[in-house]
Amino acid sequence: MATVSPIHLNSQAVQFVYEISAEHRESLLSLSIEIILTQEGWAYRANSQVFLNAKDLLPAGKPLPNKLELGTGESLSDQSLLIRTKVSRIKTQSGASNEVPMVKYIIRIGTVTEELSSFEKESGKENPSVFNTTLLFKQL
Amino acid sequence: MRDKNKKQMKTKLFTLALIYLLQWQYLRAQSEPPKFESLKLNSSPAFVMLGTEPDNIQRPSTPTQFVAGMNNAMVDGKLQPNVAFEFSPYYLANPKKDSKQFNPSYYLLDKQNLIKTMKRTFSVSMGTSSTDKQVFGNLKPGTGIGLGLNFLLLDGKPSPQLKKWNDAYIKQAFYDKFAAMARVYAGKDFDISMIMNQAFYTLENEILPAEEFNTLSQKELKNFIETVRKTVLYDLKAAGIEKDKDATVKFLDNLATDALKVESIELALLNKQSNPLSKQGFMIEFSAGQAHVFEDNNFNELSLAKSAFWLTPSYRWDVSTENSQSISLLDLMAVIRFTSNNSEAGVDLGNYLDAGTKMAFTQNKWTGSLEFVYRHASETPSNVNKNHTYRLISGIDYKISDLLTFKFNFGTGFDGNTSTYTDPKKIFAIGGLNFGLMGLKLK
Repeated sequence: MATVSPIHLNSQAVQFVYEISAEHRESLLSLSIEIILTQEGWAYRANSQVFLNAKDLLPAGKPLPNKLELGTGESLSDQSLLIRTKVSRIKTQSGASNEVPMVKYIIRIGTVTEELSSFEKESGKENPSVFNTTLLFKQL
Repeated sequence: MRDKNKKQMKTKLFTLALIYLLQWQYLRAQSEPPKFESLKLNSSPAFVMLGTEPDNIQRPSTPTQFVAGMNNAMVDGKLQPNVAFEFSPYYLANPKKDSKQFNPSYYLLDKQNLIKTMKRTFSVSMGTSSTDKQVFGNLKPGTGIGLGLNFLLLDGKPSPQLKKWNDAYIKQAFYDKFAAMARVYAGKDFDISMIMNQAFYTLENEILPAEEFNTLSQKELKNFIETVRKTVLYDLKAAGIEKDKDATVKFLDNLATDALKVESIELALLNKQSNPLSKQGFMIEFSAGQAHVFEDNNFNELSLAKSAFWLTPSYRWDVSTENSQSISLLDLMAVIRFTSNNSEAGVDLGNYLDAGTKMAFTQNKWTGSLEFVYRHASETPSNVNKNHTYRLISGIDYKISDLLTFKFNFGTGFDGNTSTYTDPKKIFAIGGLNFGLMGLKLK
């Protein structure tokens, strides 16, 4: 897992250069987003926007992307990927703790067969929490 | 001084009366415990037919648990008494895949549909009990088995606060999309009107249709679109930035942030409630049940004792004060029930028509209730004067923990069998602790 996270919590994202190695020039890259919530009696509701330059890759109402195809390494070079996910937490069980639980937000970039990178960020107590990411792909 | 003595005397007399009453009823209970539970308005049908209120109701949430429970009901080839089951076929077949992702349909919050409501609320109950003459008349002693089904025809509405949050959620999703569309616009001349129309199209044709839980009415949606169209265009033109992409994107980001603040406030208010997803309003449930007896505990001697069906309309008000962390609910219920007794087998001479009403107030762990049931029998023995009788019960429940509930009931009752039709002026008071394992309640 990369040590520096390009994910910004509740603030505008700063462009993060994502380098695609030469061996993945022809590989089809994909995006997956995962949200982890462990507190019992609570559930999350997520709304995501994914734009590759001007192209809307995730129509409204679709679930969180799971291996959403972005393009080959070569075609992605100099393309900007904007990801914005809003996560709202709601109490679902009577008697559950009133304290808003934190969530862990994970972005994964990979090919069909392997995961190349993953970035994660933990929310605070603010509810909803908004995770913003801007990746600028660069083919090496 | 005189007033003080009078007050002390009154208190002593009241205490003595209460002790006498409780002792008398305790003694009465030793020989003939009242079966007021048989007409409890909100019990599962199988247990209503048996006249029991089991302490340990198994609610299997997977087919494996269900089979295991059925196996446990049989010991040495004999059906055990005091077995109680309740399950929902729909949720057995469709267990939650991701319990942490909010799924409105799991809580019956998606679009209203009668067939869907019936399918998802359809529940089956099964119970067993030792037999007695009050419920099973002249059938040979053995093991009674009750079977029941129930489902909702109308299942109420989400709370007003849930609608407020959901409306804010949808609007915020729109502003996010609008701002993103402006940000990525790559056309030659920046045209905010065109982008706005595209955003509205996305709202009406993508966001809302995909939304399982849409609380915006057509009128509210129309008002929202008109308001956004007027105010955004006016404000941008007033600031002279309608052709400036960067400035417009910043403006729209601010709108999205403001909408996020509104959603945050509504969500916080919602989560302060003890049970944010509970339904309220008008509900109506249909129930049906049958009781059979394995006479002499012989599987070859299965006799039908009685059948019944009933409707239970109810109305629930959430009377919690705003910003309160405690839940306060007021329920008003009614029941109309027809019971057909197997008179040929000697269960009872006549059939029953019951009409009842119950009011209950719940505040966190406390529930106070008042219940009235009127019974009319189609036929009674010659030595019984009236065809009708009634019961009036007040009750208090206190949930000490998930396993332990204290219950106290006070009122007038009847035995419920035309052979022992009693004048309901005998007052009783019954208190006790219910100990049971509470499984997951299936919705």
